[in-house]
Amino acid sequence: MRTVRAIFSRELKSYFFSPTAYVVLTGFTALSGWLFYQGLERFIRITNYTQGYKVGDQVVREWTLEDDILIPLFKNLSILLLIMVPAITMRLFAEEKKLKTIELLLTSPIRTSHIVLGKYLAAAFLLTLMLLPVAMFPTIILYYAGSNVDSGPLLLGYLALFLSAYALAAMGLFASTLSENQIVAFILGVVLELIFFSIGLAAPSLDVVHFFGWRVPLNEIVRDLSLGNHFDFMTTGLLRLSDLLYFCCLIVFWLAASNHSVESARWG
Amino acid sequence: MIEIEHLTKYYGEILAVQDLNFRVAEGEIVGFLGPNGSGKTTTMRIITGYMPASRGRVRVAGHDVAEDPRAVQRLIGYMPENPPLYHDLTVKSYLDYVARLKGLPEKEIPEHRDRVIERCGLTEMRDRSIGKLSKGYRQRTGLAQALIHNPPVLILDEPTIGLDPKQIAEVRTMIRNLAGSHTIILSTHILHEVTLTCQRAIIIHRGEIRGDDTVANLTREGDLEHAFLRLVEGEPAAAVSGEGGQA
Repeated sequence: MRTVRAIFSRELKSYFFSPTAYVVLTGFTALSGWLFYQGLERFIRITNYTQGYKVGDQVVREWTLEDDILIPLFKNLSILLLIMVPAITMRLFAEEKKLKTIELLLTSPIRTSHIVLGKYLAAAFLLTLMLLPVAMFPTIILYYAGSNVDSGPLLLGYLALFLSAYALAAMGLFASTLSENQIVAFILGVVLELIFFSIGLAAPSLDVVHFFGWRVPLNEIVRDLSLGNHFDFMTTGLLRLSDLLYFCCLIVFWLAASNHSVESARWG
Repeated sequence: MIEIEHLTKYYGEILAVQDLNFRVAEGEIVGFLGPNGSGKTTTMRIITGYMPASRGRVRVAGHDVAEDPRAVQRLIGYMPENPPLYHDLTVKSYLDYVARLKGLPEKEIPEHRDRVIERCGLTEMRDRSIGKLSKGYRQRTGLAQALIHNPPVLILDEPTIGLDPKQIAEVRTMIRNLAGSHTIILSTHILHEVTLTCQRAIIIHRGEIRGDDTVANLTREGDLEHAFLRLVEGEPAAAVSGEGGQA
């Protein structure tokens, strides 16, 4: 565990010694503030003219602060994560490869898994710092409109934002093991994350297929694999074990893949 | 101390080293001599557990590197050809980090760090960031990094490459001062270096050992350059003499 801590603190320091951490933290906070403000303005506009979501002349759903400001905000921030996370993780292994410092790590008496874990935790820590200020937006809403707001979807939506960031970080870390070029690692990270984020969009066009007598529900499979779908479900305010398990599995899977990738790089 | 048996390494289809066999006794300084691309770095990387061998066995102080890499890595200080330095760290904080990676107990770190800083002549540079150091000081930091956990075995890959003559002389003196307390394998393509620092030379060419003898024996019938050329005979002379010319 000491080596995990050594690598964790080295990586964290290197985020804060370079402009990376400051750019990421300010950039994300500024953008989320702007998105919140836009959401608020839009809400004021639509509530001035209409009572709710209409089909024909019938109002089928009334406007609510959580459904029409905060949940869309969380959703937008989850898309922003697709760019921010690989920007944070791209250097983790690519830089070590470029500078050949990977040779120091791989000839030290430490497990590869500890290297992977230390680096991952540093990225996850920075992401946690990045997402904490987001809490001010639901706080503002709850402060001014406390009793009218259903806090369940907000809490779970916020949790989903953290879980998505951690899962995407594991993917970004894996992308970083594939190249010694940080730009390449960044783009690979974005592509990998986008696939997982949006694979659910393919569900409606897929069907159940029969494969050697097995019933394979392709549409359900892609939906269950999609990060976006699990995210959306959490924002309805229902806590399902399967959603939590999904994020945990993603993290474990991509950390294991990173470990394997670093190990196999040893073979030359 | 180091036993190498039938060591063979392929990179895909390409044969890098073929059936190497040698032993290095405790306290010996062995020069690993050969032209660029002869398999020196590959062999060193296998000994340090950086990459696995395709066939054969490497043992350091009785530990097999394939079975127990961490036991071997605790005994080895390794300086790769490009010293693995983080340019954003100061010499001091870099050495502290390496000490933690090598598993030194936290309260012993300052003592070990100060010892190698002094030994490698880095006292005045300890609070400088590595990115601002000259090539010579970077090389010293690379050597300090290899020595931090006071390992009985040192593997130095081209320790004097890219240095000016004064710096080369300093690094050689440093290596000679380590003799006796450490078993050292150092690689070089400079023949002269071996006569100055080593007791024994292993001549490697195209992944095979062509000669393995004491420097005294190798230089008995003329200088080492002739012995080297004789041992790699039949190969295009231009490449070999080109390397020798740098001495």
